[in-house]
Amino acid sequence: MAQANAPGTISAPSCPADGAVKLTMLLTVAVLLLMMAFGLTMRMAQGALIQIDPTIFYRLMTAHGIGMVGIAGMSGSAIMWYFLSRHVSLAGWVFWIHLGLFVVGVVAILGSIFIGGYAGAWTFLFPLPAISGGVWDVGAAATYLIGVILVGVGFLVYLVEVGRAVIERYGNFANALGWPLLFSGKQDDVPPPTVIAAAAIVVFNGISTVVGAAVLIISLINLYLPSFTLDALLAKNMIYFFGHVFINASIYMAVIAVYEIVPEYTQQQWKVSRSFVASWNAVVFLVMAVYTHHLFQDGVMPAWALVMGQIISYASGIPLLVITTFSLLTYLYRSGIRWDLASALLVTGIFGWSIGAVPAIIDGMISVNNIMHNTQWVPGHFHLYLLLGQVALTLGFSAWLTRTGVHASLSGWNARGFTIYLLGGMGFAIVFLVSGASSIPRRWATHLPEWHLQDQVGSLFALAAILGVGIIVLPITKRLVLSMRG
Amino acid sequence: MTERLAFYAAVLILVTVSSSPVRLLLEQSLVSHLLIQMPALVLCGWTIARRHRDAINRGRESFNVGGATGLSFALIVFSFWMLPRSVDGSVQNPLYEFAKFVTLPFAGASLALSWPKLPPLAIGILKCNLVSMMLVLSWIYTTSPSRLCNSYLRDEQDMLGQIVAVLAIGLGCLFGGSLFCGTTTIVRRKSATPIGSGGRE
Repeated sequence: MAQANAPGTISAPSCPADGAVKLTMLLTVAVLLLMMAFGLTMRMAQGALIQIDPTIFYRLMTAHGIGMVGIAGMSGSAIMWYFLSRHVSLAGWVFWIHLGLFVVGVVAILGSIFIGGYAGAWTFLFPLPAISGGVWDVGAAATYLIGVILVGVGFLVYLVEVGRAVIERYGNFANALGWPLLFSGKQDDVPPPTVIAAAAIVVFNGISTVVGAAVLIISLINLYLPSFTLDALLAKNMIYFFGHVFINASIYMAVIAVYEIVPEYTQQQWKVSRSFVASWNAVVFLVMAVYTHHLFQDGVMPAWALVMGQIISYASGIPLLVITTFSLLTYLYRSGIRWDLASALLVTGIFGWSIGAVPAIIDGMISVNNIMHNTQWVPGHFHLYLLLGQVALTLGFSAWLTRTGVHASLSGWNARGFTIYLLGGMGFAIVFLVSGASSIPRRWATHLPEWHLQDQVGSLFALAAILGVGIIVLPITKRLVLSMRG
Repeated sequence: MTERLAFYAAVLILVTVSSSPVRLLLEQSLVSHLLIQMPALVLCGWTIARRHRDAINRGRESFNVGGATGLSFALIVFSFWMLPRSVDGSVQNPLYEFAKFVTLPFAGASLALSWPKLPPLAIGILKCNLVSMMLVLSWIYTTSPSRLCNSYLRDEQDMLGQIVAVLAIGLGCLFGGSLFCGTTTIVRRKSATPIGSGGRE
């Protein structure tokens, strides 16, 4: 059902569960700021600018990790849902269930961390949830796992509905992934980029969610029946397979915003070429096969799996990232684009995604990983990837969703906020990378005095990033609230 | 014709697996008990009910709207027979044994009557859940520090767990593969709205 537009916003085609999508973006903005505040607190504590108990530090670290992964996934799913509904018929109530399960799951997770004291990191690596050394009890760990399971069930429902709708329209996944075009060079009903991306995401994220559900239930049983143990290496493989695919899917879902919104600015439709189809099909395999690059420190892993992780780390960034980035630059070149906040953020998102992959590829080499894995190099990589990639895409989508009728160029507070966010985000991630190159460890609550300078500079950039995002999201939040009331 | 043949084959199999020699033979091993006899009972119930689906449904549509009642019944029965205590009981207690031979075919029948009525979303979630929980079940059987069923040996339990893991992966590939070729049951729904027309709230 189309919704009336609030004063000051322009008429955008409605999507099924339009209200839920807007509510998700509102929730995203709030959670992002909260998680950034948690991050700043941790950096300030490491830099001895404030004093917090290490127990609190690890609770914040756990909340920051799961909060960012969760909200990145949720906002990505909202973006994909919004644009996919332009091409296939989705049932709106499914997204409400997805959002409802997410909220209930988040409440359980926050309760387990800040009331129950769970601080075993978002990765819940077996057997850590069960062995807390008295820091948290079994109930807290179980509540955390149940919270993650609820979020996972919501995603499964969402993915099944997306898959159903895509198959309903295109007959099967082979058509939706453009296989006829890929293998024979022609297809009668070529799916748009959004459908190809959605089909690919359903395949790999669906598999990862099923694997994640299994390891979560197993961990839950182990909490109450410790004699039922799981091979720790197998558990780590399952968890990292799930975690790696899930967080990457959150970026892939958000990239759809670029395929759908940028053509509005450049007046050129995003074309589906064979190379585009090939790149998305390659990603289906590569994103699942590359997860072993998280396990280079596990010397008991089969050698072939680690070698595969290294080789695919080189390859996984190339197809989709290069094709998308190159296409974007081609579309932008001489397009006469008029920059506004939304377009600037979307292009920044692709920039952050692209450069964020570089430290990952470097760390994806076994010889480098042996030195860098437990340093701040790794948070440097994923903060580039997320803070300047996924978050920028999400903010860009939100800015576009709540755009006003009058074309607003990138000026005034928008431009200031964007610049502060960009500089703050870049600086923050670069300080992490420099610290990593200096062998400063990650995940340590207390730092040596020799490391404090980097931590303090990092805190300054973190503050700038929060300020920038705050300036950007203030008018967006206002327009989202108005739009929902309308 | 095929459905008729399947019906008679199902009746024949039901009688065969219920007869003492075959029943005892299958119940000698945990693997054949859980992976041959029990699925055979469900499959027979499914096949027999499918043959008479229209006659059974006639006048009773309101009893099984959307397949919810039948699915709930089937899931409760399956959950009961998944418990090691129930499996033990069925080889030690004639009452349990009788209940197994009655409830499992009925569960299969109710699933056959409900499956076509289930929304595609429910079918997709059921399939995903089946694969995921089979993996969990496999882990439980292989890692349990003691025998779960008193009537069976530990090594049979291990073997069952390993076979269930292989079946879970096989089923996952089958379900996933079917989405890539031809049209699946998910497609049997009203057509999509035209491109660009938005959706429905």
